[in-house]
Amino acid sequence: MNHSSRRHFLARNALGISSFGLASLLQQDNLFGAPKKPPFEKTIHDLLSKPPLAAPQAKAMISVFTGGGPSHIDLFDPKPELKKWDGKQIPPRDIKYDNAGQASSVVMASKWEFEKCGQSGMELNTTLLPELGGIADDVTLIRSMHLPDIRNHGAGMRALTSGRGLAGHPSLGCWVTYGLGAESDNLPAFVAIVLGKNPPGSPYWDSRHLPSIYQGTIMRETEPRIANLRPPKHLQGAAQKNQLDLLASLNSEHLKSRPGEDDLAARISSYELAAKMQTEASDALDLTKETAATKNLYGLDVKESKRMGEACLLARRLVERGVRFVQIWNYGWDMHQEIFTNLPLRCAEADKPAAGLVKDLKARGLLDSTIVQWGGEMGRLPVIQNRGSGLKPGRDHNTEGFSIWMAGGGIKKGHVHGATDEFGHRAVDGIVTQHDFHSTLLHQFGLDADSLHFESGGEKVALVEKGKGKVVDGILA
Amino acid sequence: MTARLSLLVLLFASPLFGNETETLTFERDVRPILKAQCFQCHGEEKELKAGLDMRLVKLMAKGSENGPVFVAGKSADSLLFKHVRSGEMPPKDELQLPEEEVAIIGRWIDEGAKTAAPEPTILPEPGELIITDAERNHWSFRPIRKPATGDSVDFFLERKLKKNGLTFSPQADAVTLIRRATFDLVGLPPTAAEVTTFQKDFKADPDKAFTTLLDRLLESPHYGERWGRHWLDVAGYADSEGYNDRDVERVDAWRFRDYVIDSFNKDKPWKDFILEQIAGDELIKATHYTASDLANASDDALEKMTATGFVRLAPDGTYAGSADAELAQKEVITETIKIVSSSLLGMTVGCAECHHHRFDPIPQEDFYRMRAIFAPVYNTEKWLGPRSRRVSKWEPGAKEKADKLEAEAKVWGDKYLKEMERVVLVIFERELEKIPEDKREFARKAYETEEKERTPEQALFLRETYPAVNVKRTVLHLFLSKYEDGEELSKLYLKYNDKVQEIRKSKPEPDYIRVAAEIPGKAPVTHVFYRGDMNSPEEEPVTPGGFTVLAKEAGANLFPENNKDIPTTGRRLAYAQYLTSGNHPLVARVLVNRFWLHHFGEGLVNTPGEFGTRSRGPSHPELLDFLAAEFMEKGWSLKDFHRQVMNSKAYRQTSTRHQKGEDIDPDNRLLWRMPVRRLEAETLRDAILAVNGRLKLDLHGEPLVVKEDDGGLFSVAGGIVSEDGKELRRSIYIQQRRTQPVTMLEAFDAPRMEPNCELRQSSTVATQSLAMMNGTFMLRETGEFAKHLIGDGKETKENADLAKAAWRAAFSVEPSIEKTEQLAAFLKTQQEIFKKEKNPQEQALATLCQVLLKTNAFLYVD
Repeated sequence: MNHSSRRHFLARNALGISSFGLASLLQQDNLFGAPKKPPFEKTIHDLLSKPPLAAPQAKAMISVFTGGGPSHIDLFDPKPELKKWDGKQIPPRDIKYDNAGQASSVVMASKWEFEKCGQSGMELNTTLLPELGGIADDVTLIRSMHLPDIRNHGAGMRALTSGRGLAGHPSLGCWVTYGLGAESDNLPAFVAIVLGKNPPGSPYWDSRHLPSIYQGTIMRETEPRIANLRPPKHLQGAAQKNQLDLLASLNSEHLKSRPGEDDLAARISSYELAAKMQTEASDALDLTKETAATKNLYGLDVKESKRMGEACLLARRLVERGVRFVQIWNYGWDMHQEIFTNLPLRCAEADKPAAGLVKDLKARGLLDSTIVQWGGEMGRLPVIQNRGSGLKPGRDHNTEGFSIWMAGGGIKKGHVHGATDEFGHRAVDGIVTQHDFHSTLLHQFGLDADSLHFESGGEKVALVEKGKGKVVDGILA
Repeated sequence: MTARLSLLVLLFASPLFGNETETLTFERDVRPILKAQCFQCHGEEKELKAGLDMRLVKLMAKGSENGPVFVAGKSADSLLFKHVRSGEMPPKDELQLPEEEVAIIGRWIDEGAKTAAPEPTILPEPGELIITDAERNHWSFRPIRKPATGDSVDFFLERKLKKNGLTFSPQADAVTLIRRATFDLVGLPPTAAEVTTFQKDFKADPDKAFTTLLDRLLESPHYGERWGRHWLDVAGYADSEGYNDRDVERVDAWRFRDYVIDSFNKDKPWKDFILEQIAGDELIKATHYTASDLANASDDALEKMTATGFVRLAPDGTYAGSADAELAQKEVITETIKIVSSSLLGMTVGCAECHHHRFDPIPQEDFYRMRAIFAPVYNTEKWLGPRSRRVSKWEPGAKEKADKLEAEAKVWGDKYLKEMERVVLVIFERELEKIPEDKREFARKAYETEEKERTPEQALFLRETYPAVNVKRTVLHLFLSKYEDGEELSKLYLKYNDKVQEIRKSKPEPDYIRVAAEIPGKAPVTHVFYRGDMNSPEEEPVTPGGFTVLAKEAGANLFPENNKDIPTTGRRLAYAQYLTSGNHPLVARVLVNRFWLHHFGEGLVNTPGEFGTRSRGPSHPELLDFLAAEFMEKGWSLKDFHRQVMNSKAYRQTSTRHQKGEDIDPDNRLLWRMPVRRLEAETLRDAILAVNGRLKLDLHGEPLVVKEDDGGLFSVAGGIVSEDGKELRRSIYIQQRRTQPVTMLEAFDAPRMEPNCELRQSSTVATQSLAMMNGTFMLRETGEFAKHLIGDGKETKENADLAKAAWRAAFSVEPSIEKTEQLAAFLKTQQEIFKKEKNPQEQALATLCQVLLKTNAFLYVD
C-alpha cells in the first residue's frame, strides 16, 4: 500500500500537518502513552498501520465465538471419572452453579467416546468434531480456561472480549486495531460477523473509551451483509462521487473555522472510508469468486454448515485484504436442556467451517500470521441440570473450567495446555484467565498488555488491568 | 472507571507521590487496597479465612491462625508483606497486587503501621462493613451547602478560569445562539424566519433578545418532548418487557412517556415529579384494588397513577408461561433498584446485591433495605404479572355501557350453553347405542354422575373402557365431525355464540395504564440473600432504609418505615418524601449535574451515574452545590434552571478553540469555550424531517411500530409512510422495543435499555456515513425535500433559486453568493447525469439536499 492512498484515511487535523509527518510522529511514540502534542492538536487517532513494539507472530486474528457455552466435557475434555460416577451423587465438592434452583448433584457422563487425533494424540470427540480431529496437529487446545467471579453469558462474553464482566469497556478487536491500525484503507479494521440475532448483551464490538474509529463494523449473515453498503442505482458512479466531493468541500470549509475539532475531522474521514468500503467491501463479500473446491472445504455445499461456512470464508477474504480482526458471533451453545440432542446439531454447523478455515489459511500461507481461535465464554457442568416438565436434561454454566482451541499466529501445533479436575469442573492446572488469554494474544501481535493503554478523561484505560494477566508461554511455538 | 484505575487515582492523590516524608496511614493509604482485594475473605464475611480480620489495624494485630501478620517497623518480618510480595496472597492469580501497592504496604509497616486516628474500642463483628470517617466525608455524602459567596453560574466558573489564567470566550453570534438554544430546548432547528427575527432583536438588545427567545422555547410543547427524552433514558423507558429474546411488547407503556412529556411542559416541580413516580399510588391512597376506580374518578389521580409507571420500567420477564419465574421476579426488583439508584442517587447500588460494595461504603444490607422499599409492590408471595398491574381508564359513560352490554351478552351466552348441553345429550344417546347393550345402564349411570362423585370403576369406565360415551362440551366438536348432521347440530348452539361475540365487539374498551400499586395486607419480609443467592436468605429480616453511610449514627433510620394514614405500607411514599426532603445529599446534586450535562455535553461530575468514590468528583464542587441548593430553594423548577444556566456568559460563549486554552485546559473542563456537540440520534432524525417540511408535530399517543424491512434493518413501519404521515412524527414516539432498535437511530448511539442509560455515547463510524449516503430513510426524505422545494412544478425554477432555498431550509440562513454559485453548478452537473430520468432537476436537487444534510454544519451544533 502506498502512502498517498493511506493519506485519505487519516483524521486530518486543521493545521494541515501532513499525514507523513503525523504518521511518523505517531510511530515514534508508538501510541503508547501520550505523544507530545504539536500546538493546537489533540492526539489524533487513525487507522494507519503501526509497527508493534516487538516482532509480531500474528498480524490478524479470526475468532469464532461460539457463545452460550459449548460443553467442554462432551467435546474437548474427556473425563473417564464421569463414566464411573454416571447417575450417582458427585462426591462432595463446591460446585459453582449458575442456577441453583435447577441444579442437581447427579453426575451425567458424556454419551460420546473420545479418540486420539493426529500425531499429537490430542483426545477429541471425533463423532461430533471429525474435521477438528483432522487438524489436531495444527491446534493448541486449552483445557484450563477460567473466568474468575463470572457465572453468566453476558458477563462471560464481556470478560473474554473486554477483560471485565461489567459492561462499558472496549473490546479486544478494538484494542488490537488501536495498537496496530489496519492494513487496509478501504475496509473496516475490525469486523464482527453476526450469525442470527446479536448475542445477548451486545454489542461486544463496542469501542467504548477508545475513539470510535476502532469500533467493530457489523456484518450480517445474509445480504445486505453491511447495512446500507450499496448505493441505489441512480447514485452509483458519478452522481455519488460528485456528492462526496461537494460534501468534502463544504466540510473542510466548516472545519477551517473550527480548528482542532477532532470529531469533525473524524466525520470527514468516515465518509471517505464509507465511500471506499462500497467498492472494496463489495468485492470482499463476493463469494462467487471462490472455487467450488474452496467452498466445499468450508462446508458451503452442506445445508447445515453453509451459514457458518460462509462466515468463515468471508473472514478469510477479509483478513486476506488487510482486515486486522474478525470475530464471528455464533450464539447458540447454551444447553440447559436436551444437550445430547442439541450439541450434535451445533457441531454439524460449526465443525467443518472452522477446520476448513484453518486448512485454507494454511494452504495460502496465511496461517503463520493469523490466529484462529474457537470457543465460547464457558463450558458446562458435569452434573445434570433438570428443567423439569418432561424435558431431557442439560448442563448448567461452567466458567470455572472450560476449553477453547487456537491455531496459527505462533501458537503451538498439536498441543494440549492445562487441565481441569477429574470431573471437569474446575481448571486446576495451567489456569488461563481472560487476562492471561488477552495478554498472550497481545504478545503474539507484538504488543504489550502492560503498556497498551488509552487515556480517557485523565484516566488510564487498558485491556488487561495492570498485574492481572500473564503471557501463557506454554502455548507459544 | 475500572477498579484498578480508581486505586491508581487514589494513590496518585496520596502523599507517596506528593510528599515523600509524610507518614503513611492505614485509613488513607492502606485500607483502600485491602478493602478492594482482601476484606472479602478477611473481615467482610461472617467466616474469617484463616481467622484473620484485616478491617482494622487492631484486628490485624490479633494475627491469624498462623500467628502475627505484621511486625510494626519490620516489613521483612511481616507475613502480610511477604505474602502480597510473593503473590501468595491474594490467592487468586488475577487478584495480585501491583508493585506500587505492595510497596505502600511495606512502607506503611516500616513506618510503624500507623493509623490516622484511634480505632474504635468496640470491635465490629466479622461480616460487618466498617465505614470510615473519610468515607462519610466523601464529597457527595456531605450535606449540600450553598457557598457563602457567589450567586451565579459565571461567578464560580470565572473564578476558576481566572485562577488558571483563562477567561470565557466572547459571546457567540445570533445565528449560533438561536441554533444552540433551539436544539437544546426543543431538539429541533430554528426556522429561517425565527433566525431573522432573532437576529434583528439581538442587534437591538442581545440580553433581552436571548431571554425572550428562551421564554418562547420554554413555552413550546416540544420542549417536553426534548427534555422528556433525557429523563426516559435514565428511567429506562421501553415499549417491551425485555428480559429474554421474546421481548414481549409492552403495549401500554407509552402513557408514562406522555406523562413525562406533560410534566416537563408543565414545569412540574421535580419534588412532585419524583414523589409521583415513586409513590403516586400512595399519594392518592390507592391500592391494587382501588386504583382503577380512583383513576376514573379524577384526572389528578389518573396522573399520579400513570406516574407510577416509573416503578414499572425495569425489564419484566414474569409474564405467563415464562421459565424461571422466581428468578425473573427477583430480577425485576433488582433492575428497579438499579434504575432508582442510578437515576436519582448516582450510585451503583446493584454492586451490593451479592456482597458489600468493594469500593464504596455500601454494605450489602443497603441493597436489601432498598429492596424492602419495593418489596410490598413487587411482592414475591403474591406476584402479579405485567398485565395484571394495570389501571383501566374508561371514557365517561363507557363503563356503564360496557357493563350493560356484558349483561346482554351473558343472556345469550347462557342460551348458548344450554343449547350446547342439549346437543351434548343428543350425541351421548347416539354414542350409547354403539356400546354393548349390557353395559349401557352402567354407562348412563356413570355419565350422569357428577365427575367428582364418580366411583373409581365409573371413572375408569369412562376414561379408558368406553371413552367415546363421555361426551362433553369441550370435545363436542370432535364428535360432531363424525356425524353427517354434525354441522347442522352445531349451528343450533353456535348461532347464540355469534350473538355474544357481536355484542362484545361493540363493547367499549378501557385504556390500560401500567401502574404500581400494592395489594394491602401484611408486607413481605425482606432478607439479605447470602452472596445474592435468593435460595440462601439470611436469618435476620431487613427493614426499609437509606444508605447507611448517610445515617448520623449506625443503624439510625433515615425515614419512617410505615405511614399509618394509608391503606398500603407507605414505604415508597416515605422513601420518596425522604429523597425530596431537601436534605438528601445526592438527589439534587445528581439531578442538576444531569441537567448541566444536557447543556454542556459533559456534567460537572463526568460520571452522572457514579457519584461514589470511583468518580473523579465535580470539576466545580461549589458550583454544583450552588446549583443544587438553588434548585431546591426555588421550588425544584427545571425551567428556572434552564434560564439560570442559559443566560450565563458560559453558555453564550463561542465554541472556537484558541491556543492558550488548548495549552492550559485541552479537555475544556474549565469551560473556556462552549463545546461543539453532535446531534443525538433522535434529534438528527427530527431535524431532517423538520427541514424538509414533513415533520408531524402532533403530541402524544401510541408508539410508531418498528418493523424489519426487506434489508433486515429495523425502521419505522418497515420504511412505509401511510397517508396520514404518522410515521413522520418525532422520534420520541417511535416504539422502543429492546431487541429491535431502529437501525439508523442505533447507529447514531440511541441507547438500548438494559435496564437504562446513564450516559449516551457519541460515536463516529463509517456505518453512520453509509446510512446517510445509502440508507432508505435518507433517500426517501431527501427526495421529499426536493419535491417540497420544487413545489407543484407549474413554474420553472432556476437552479440558483433552488440551491438557495435548500440551503436556507437546512441551515436557516441565506447562502453567500459564491456558495449559491457552487451549489447551482453542482445541480447542473447532476442534472446532466440524470438527464434521461423522469425529472432530472428534482433528482439533482435531491442529491444536493442529501449533501447538505450530511454536512458537519448540519450534524453538529456550535
